Amino acid sequence: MKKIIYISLLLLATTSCSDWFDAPSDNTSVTDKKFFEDENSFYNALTDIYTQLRQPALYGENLSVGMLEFMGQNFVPVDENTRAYSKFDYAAIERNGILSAIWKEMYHAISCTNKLIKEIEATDVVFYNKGQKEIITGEAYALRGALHFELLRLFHPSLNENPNYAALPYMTDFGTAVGAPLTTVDLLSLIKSDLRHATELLKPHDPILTGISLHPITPGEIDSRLRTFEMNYYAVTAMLARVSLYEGNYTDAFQYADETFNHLRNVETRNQVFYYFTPGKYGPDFSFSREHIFGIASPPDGLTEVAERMFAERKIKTRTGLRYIFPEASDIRYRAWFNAEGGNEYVMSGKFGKESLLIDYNKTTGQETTSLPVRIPFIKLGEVALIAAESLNETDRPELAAQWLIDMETSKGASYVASRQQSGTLDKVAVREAIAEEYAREFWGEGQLFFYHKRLNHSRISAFDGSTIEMDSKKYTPPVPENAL
Amino acid sequence: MSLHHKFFKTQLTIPLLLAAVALNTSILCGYAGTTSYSTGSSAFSPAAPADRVITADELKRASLTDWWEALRILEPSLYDEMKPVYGDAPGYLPSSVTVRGKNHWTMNSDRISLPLFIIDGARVPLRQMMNMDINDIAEVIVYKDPVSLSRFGIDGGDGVIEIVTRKPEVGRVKVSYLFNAVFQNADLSSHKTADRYAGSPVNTDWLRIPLQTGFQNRHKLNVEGGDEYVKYKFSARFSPAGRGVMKGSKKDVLGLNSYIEYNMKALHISNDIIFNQIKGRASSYGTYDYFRTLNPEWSATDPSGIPYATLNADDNIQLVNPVYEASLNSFDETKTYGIYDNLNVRLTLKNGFSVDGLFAFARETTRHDIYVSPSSGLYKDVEGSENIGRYDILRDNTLSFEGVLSLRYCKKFGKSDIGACAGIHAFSGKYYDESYAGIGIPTDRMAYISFTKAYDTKQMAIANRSYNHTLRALASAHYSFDNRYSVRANVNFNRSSRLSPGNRNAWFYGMGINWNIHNESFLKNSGIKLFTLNASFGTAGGIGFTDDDYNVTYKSNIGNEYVYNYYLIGSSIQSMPNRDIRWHTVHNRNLTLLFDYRRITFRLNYYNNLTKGALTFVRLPLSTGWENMISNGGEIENQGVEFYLGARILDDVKGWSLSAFLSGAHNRNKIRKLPEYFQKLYNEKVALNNETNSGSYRPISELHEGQSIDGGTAPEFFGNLGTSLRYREWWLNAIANCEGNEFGLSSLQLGYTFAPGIFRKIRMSELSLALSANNLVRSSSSDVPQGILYPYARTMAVSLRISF
Repeated sequence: MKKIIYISLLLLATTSCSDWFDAPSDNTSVTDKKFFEDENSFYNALTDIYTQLRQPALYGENLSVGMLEFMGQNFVPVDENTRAYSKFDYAAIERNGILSAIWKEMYHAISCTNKLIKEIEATDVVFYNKGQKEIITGEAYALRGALHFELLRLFHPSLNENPNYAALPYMTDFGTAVGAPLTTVDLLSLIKSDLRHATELLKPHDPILTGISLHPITPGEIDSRLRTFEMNYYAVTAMLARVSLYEGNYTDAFQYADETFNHLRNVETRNQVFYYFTPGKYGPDFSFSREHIFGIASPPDGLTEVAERMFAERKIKTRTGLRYIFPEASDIRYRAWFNAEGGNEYVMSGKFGKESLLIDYNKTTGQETTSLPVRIPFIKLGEVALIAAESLNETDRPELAAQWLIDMETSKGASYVASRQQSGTLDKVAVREAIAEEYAREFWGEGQLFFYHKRLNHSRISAFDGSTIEMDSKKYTPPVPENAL
Repeated sequence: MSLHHKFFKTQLTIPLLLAAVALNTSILCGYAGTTSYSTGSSAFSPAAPADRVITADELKRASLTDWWEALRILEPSLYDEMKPVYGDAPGYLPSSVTVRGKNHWTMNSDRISLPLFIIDGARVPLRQMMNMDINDIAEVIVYKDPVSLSRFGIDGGDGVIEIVTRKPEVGRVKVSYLFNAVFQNADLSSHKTADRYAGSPVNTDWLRIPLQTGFQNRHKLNVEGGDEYVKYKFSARFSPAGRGVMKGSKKDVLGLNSYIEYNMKALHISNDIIFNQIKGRASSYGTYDYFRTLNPEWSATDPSGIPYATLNADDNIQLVNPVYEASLNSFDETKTYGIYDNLNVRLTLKNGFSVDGLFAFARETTRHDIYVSPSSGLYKDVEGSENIGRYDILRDNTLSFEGVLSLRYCKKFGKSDIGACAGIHAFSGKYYDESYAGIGIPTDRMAYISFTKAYDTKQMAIANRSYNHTLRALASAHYSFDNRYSVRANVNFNRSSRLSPGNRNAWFYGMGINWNIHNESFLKNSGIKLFTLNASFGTAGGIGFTDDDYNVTYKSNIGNEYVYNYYLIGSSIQSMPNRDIRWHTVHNRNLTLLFDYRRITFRLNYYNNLTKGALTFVRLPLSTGWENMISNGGEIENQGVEFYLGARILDDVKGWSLSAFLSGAHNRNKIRKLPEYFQKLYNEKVALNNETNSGSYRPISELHEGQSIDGGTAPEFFGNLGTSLRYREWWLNAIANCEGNEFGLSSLQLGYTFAPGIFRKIRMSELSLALSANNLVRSSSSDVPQGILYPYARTMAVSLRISF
């Protein structure tokens, strides 16, 4: 009898302990509490966010070579869906759920980022890899700011069109509560604040500041060779340049753009992770991936497959007059990216196709050597140079601006600006024009041209067939999807 | 006591079917010993008016060999949904059983939904429950009364079925031997075959090919005895090499049981240990549905009798030949070991107080091995012999501890009876399973995983571990005045690891009022023995979600590395969890009429059970980044009537006795609330599921508000009709069943019990002999075949019982 009483008391004693009721099951997934007890997990959670960005709904198609490129009029539409893109028929686009997918998946990535930020800022796990905690936190903040900005420049009208337009909430928590939509001005200030916070965290620790180091990588350690696959310090300064230019803050824009180029100035050439290619040096790297400051890794069945389908199978043509966009045949972009289809028609089968590989990322397993397939550019040197040039030009320094453009085009084997400079016709208007031309050349398949027109609120743009499209804020600004808030 | 024991002798007293109590005062204080069921009911399980208590004698009238079969025949509110699919496969385990209708849908089509199964107050694993020997059962209680169900709290939502085990008789040592020889024959009456091949040169009757006559012989030895201080019972049962109706299917059972009870003054201690070893083997011919797809124009063997490796050899599509497969060494075996212990302590104190304690332990381990021979026709298209042949190992384990401690109080003051009880119940269960497979076996005879070349790279090892830590605290009270009016109520507090931390405390309540009209002065001497009205209501709950639904969980994205070839792998969040997710609550309401007049017994129940907070998905704003989240948005109603009418027509008139009963249940299931978003989501998933499993025989039904959960596939009416006839030593029982539009003669028994006088000389105290048959006739008007994966069987048994 006594025994029974003792057993019962024991039972009572154990049950009064609240831990007894926390008994999560073990299967293929693990609770956040258990998961974040390990340093590597934070890096895994961060890696997942990058992995999400490459899905077709986002940069795997819609926000790179897909929807945005048809909206930028770079490609000739071939069916109902692509025609809807070129005509900015957002109702038709949304019938396929494209806009709500972009909205949801971007916020999904932001939601996961918020969870990571909350966990890493509260954790007492010791990070054995020095600076890794700061780097991961910094990247997470950078992603949150950058992804909000990407949504902003798509779903909000340009700042000079309507600075008080409010469609997007700024999400800072993982959960089901959604804040009120904020105005462009308010969003920009939050975006900048997150990006600046990221630079503070990254600057002291990011290996990109010293370049590639060849010491062996332990599992879970951030690999200095792979920094351009993630939101590194210079990707953040480049994003800040992009954001500053968007709000017309040319001083900041130039400063951040200029700082981004410090990598090329401060790091020995052989240790640089991003740099300008020079003609003849790119080998099979037709997308010039070494110019990506941040690019999203994609598997062979990712962007490569999408590009193969679009350009090799469906033969989607480039806009008419590609030769006029690239007047100099020596331009390596023209040579590496496009293939003539006869009758003055071209397809962009080179840039992202299956022949296009990443240089320097070969891996030998056994007897087989594999290379990384093409990756998705998120922000690259060319854009930063153009930001620097535009900022200088708009602050009345066209000569300095021209030099940035010349540096850039030289690396492409072209001399559009250089020849004009020699003929002495480079004033502010001419530089502006040169920049506009460069936007039409540099970002094929990357979705930037549409945003260039939109940022400057161009009232007419040239359509894929050479005609002119009258643009207005309705065409520039997709409607907020149903059930967004 | 003796009623429970006489093995074959039919008791002609009509059992109190729908309620054993009601008229008695001690609903709470079961151990006070005034009620008929009090023999073994544990501290928490006294039956209430709407509960169905089935005694061993009734049970055996429906089946002499299988208690679950007997219960299915006798209890019309019980529905074993998957039986028509699995038929009479040896070792069949029910996976979806409802009592009084389906009261929730499942989010996951393979998540099972079963009542809580308990033996003598403690939970047992399903396989142990199903393999309980019918001869060890004193009563089966199907809890349906709202007050009873409320005592089980979050475990009571799907109904509760309890077995009360038979306790030894006081007296000198009694040794009994039981023997059953069971013959089974496949019932193909619902499998209609087209006769259009009658004239063709080859006319293979595929449906007959895998069949055989099933045979099992069961032996049981039982020793029991004792006095008022010590009682004991030891038994061993053994049924070797039991064959099912499909060739190669087998089941062996070995069971040992020891029960010891001490009674010293106010102290009662009893301990019951059960050990079971169950071995099963699936038919080497595979599942029966495959045979229905085969063309009679195909021949299984060549003229010399050697089976073809594949069928339809002329055509491009070649099919596996089950006759050839059966000739190989392939197998599918299951071995289970279960041990179960139940320790009961009762201390009767002064002034009407008593203390009860229960400690139970259950452990079950199952190992399932599946071997596919490399010579199998499944590999006919595989080039090279590297990865052919496969050996799967699946393990399944359960370990649970359960403890109950309760204090009860019972007292009579003048015309008033008062009872109160406070108890605490703790349950700790651990469930884990693992499975993995090896592939690449050199030859047919190398039937073990040690001969495999590699693990199956396409199918990773699967493992799960889950826990159930639940605490229940129960307080109940009862008051009765003059045996005429009584009221009882209970409050049940639950806290469980299976509930979300945001909603971890669950409260349940139950209340019932009772009016014994037969005790009113105006009905005295009217000949009405029992006339009682009872109304009760209460809540019980169920948990349809898992901890992954309220925790943020991360899963490694193996197979989707971020940087190709650099093994940088992300871990992603699986879903937006709902920290506030709640159990679903079943609001049970019941009215019962109990009426006994002369030789007539009548019981009537009306119930209306409403499930609130059934699991749904709620749509989330896209800005959260998530499409939806689990929530409690559904409502389901089950409404129905149950009746039982029994009559003792002849009561020992010139040696003749005759009795009959008729009972039935009608249930109407209706979805009361179904959020539109969830409906769309669910039905889309159903459509997709039914499309990908288009060959499946149980298509999942779409959900529509105002309609029933299963789209009307479950029959609404269940009924049965039974009769018992006895003439001197001879007796005859028959029960017919009706399930929707299907009728069947579910039980027919003929027995002879030798008059005791005959064997006094050889000290034999009892000898009886019986012939019984189950499911001799089944008729169905529907075209859907029954017994799809394994045929139904007609069962015939010869039973012998000898006691010394």
